[in-house]
Amino acid sequence: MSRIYIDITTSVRWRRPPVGIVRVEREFATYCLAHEPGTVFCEVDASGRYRALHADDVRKVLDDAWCETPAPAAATATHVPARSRVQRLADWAAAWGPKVVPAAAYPLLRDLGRVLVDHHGAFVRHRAAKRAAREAARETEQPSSVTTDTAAIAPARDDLFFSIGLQWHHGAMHAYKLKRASGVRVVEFCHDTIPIEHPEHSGSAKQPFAEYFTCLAHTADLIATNSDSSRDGLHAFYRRVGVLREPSLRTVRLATPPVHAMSEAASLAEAEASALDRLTTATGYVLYVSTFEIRKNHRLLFQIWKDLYARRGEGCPMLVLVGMFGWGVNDLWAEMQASDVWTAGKVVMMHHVSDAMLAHLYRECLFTVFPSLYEGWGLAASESLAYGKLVIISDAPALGEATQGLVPAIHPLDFLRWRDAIEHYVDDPAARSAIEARIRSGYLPRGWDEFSRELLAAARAVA
Amino acid sequence: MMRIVQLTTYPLKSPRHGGQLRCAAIRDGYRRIGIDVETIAVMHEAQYRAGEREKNDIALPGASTFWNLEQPRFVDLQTGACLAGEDRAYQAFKHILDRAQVDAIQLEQPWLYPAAKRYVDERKARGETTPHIIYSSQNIEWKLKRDERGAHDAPNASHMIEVRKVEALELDVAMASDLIVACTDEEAQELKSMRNGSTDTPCAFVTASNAIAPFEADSARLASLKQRHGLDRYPIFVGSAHPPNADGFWRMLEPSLAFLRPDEKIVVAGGVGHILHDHPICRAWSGINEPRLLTLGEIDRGDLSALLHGAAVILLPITTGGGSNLKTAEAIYTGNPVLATKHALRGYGDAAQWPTITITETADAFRRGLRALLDNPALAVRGDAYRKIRERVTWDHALAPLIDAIRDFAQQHSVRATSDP
Repeated sequence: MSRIYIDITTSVRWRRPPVGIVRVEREFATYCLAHEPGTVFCEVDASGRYRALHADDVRKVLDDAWCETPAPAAATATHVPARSRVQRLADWAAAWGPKVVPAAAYPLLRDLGRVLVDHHGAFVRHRAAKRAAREAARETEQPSSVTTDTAAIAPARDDLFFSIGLQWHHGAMHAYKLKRASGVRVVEFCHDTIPIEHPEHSGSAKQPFAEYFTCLAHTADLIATNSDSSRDGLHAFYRRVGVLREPSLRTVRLATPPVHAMSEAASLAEAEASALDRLTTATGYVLYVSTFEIRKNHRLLFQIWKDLYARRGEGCPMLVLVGMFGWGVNDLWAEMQASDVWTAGKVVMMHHVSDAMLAHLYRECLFTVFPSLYEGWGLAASESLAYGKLVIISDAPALGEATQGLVPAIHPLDFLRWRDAIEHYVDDPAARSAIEARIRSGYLPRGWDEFSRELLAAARAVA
Repeated sequence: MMRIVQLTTYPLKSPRHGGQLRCAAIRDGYRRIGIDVETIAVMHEAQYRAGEREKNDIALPGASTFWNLEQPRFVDLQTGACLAGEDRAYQAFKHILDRAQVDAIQLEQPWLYPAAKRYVDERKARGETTPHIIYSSQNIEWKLKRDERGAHDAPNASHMIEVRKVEALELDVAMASDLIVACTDEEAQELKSMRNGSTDTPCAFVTASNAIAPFEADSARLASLKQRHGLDRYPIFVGSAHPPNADGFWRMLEPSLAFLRPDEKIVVAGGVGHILHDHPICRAWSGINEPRLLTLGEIDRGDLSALLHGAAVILLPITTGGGSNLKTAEAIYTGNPVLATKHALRGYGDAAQWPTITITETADAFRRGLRALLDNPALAVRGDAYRKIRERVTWDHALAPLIDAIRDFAQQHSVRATSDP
């Protein structure tokens, strides 16, 4: 029987609430720890060698406490100044600049001002997040780090080596070198091909990811993907760049996020409880759980809510955006804060939300939306279904897979259809109920055990 | 003793690039059979350092109105016009020719023909004897210039005007010559057809392909280079900063170098390295391509010899251009496996049948061929057993027809220059 090796470098180094990819690695490792005796867990060291971890360390890393930090206060409109001092200074300079600086120099100064405002905004948010994390860490006793004096692993040719975390971050070359040295069968994981297919939504990540995926092609015997959409995207990429030997590609769909038991609002942190109070209004709210970044298409929702507020006034439902700040949204963020719909409190943004708070938000919302321009999977869409809630999704293929074809799908740039659908489901509880009934009867939730068994079977099937 | 003045647009004191090497080899070959050869290299004063020039070489003034900065790729064409038109430079040129009492002017490429023509015409006008014209071609130049624009550049009318000037110049030279030397049989045929059967002046033709001087590699130097650059089994590509070199490389290796492993690199030697990275195909997947290219730029001859001898495969992805390629001769001479286009082997006879050479015509086959040669060293026939074949790409062998032709030429024309009626 071949031995299983799992690189859990991502899990060892991730000391915050896990995001999707981190959760995949943690859940798979947890399954193997329980059901696959003899599994070797390892971490890549500074010299690029994989070192086995002590059993105690593995249990410590995979315990929830390793990633736990108490939820800091939710940020809402009232916590963030609408216009920072730098923004006000830039606005003043934009208005008076033509009168006080030479005409030829004005465009340059104006552009520099914009860059300064953008970076200052990002810096302020980053500083606030770091401060919150520091304060949270002070209040929590996190387990200490793992032992580093362990032996380097030496897998045999027919062993299995799983490398499924944030490998582009830790260095895909380490697994490549291990493969070349030992011949071990390597299993990698592709979470999405967004940087390749939609580089405009990925900053400057296209070229590093092109090399990362190419490195995987020369390393992996099997690349598991979270959706057929990701699998097809990766296959298309390999054809585009002329990879001559493509590894096996196999879809292993992710598990449904766990549904948290309903807890009393009183058990929430004070800031969260008061934020929840503010959302409990007669109009109700629509929820979007997603990182606040350009690809997630928050702009569409913002435009729709401006329209709804203009027509409905105080009768307009709230839009609750939950997720951390990403990139490429500085302009949108400034627009939102300057808008009437924001100052009226009809659009609310929250981040660093606890699991309990999230459970409340899901259960109490009218329905959820997921208008993302492209997704590799769309964990939050399946999460909505796990709570039995209607989610209106974009027609990105992976979202259809994640929601098993049970919910309405609309092109992400079709403003009118999105607006009409949102109004329809806001105003028609029976229509919501009908879809929720369909979800209850048709949705097949999937556990991490099932995901892990399928991944193992796919790996063992590779010759 | 026959006296020849050889005209070039680059000095031959320290030959490095292909044209210099060929001209220097021809000069040496002539001198070995007793011909008195002098060389006049004519160039813009900013080209080449004074220490690189020989005594007869002429540096043209940078302030001349003959230079067209908007057409930098036609500086050789402008050089010929400038020499013929700038009186001070022309007088220096004329003085050398008069002193040498030449029997023949050998034009290495057509560029300096305007000055040679002025010299001949002036002597004719004075009723003096005129030297014969030998045209030593290296390419069909107008086609080369046409292709230099680069596949990704926009069409450019002013570029094509200059190309037409080159074509007219080449035609003039071909019509005025008594002996024409070509690099390949195909080009000899093309030059013949340029003359269109003209019998005004009888003209002999000879083909002398490009070749190399025998070279050996220093194994200690190779070991040091491999260690310094972290090389194991590596392909090598050598080329000058001539845009079609980069274009050919990427045309034969597109869409990217993703077929190479993350720790494999193509060693790139010569000026082509700088333009290779700017090519649109390279930039499209720069994240993949950049780490798989080890661009060394212009390197020492000893390092180049060592790297060529140590290469697992020598790449000749040449898709355009005329003449025969010195890089091809170098590659063949090492005896190492060569992966080439058919075009790269023009001028080397039946080289496509030689055991060390693999010919492919499409990018897909080229990439697969390279992958196979890297993966299976057993596929790579090494040429140690084919020393006789290798010798065919040395200058001694390649220039033999030219040496015979120049002997015949000297006999037919009674050594001294002809006298015009």
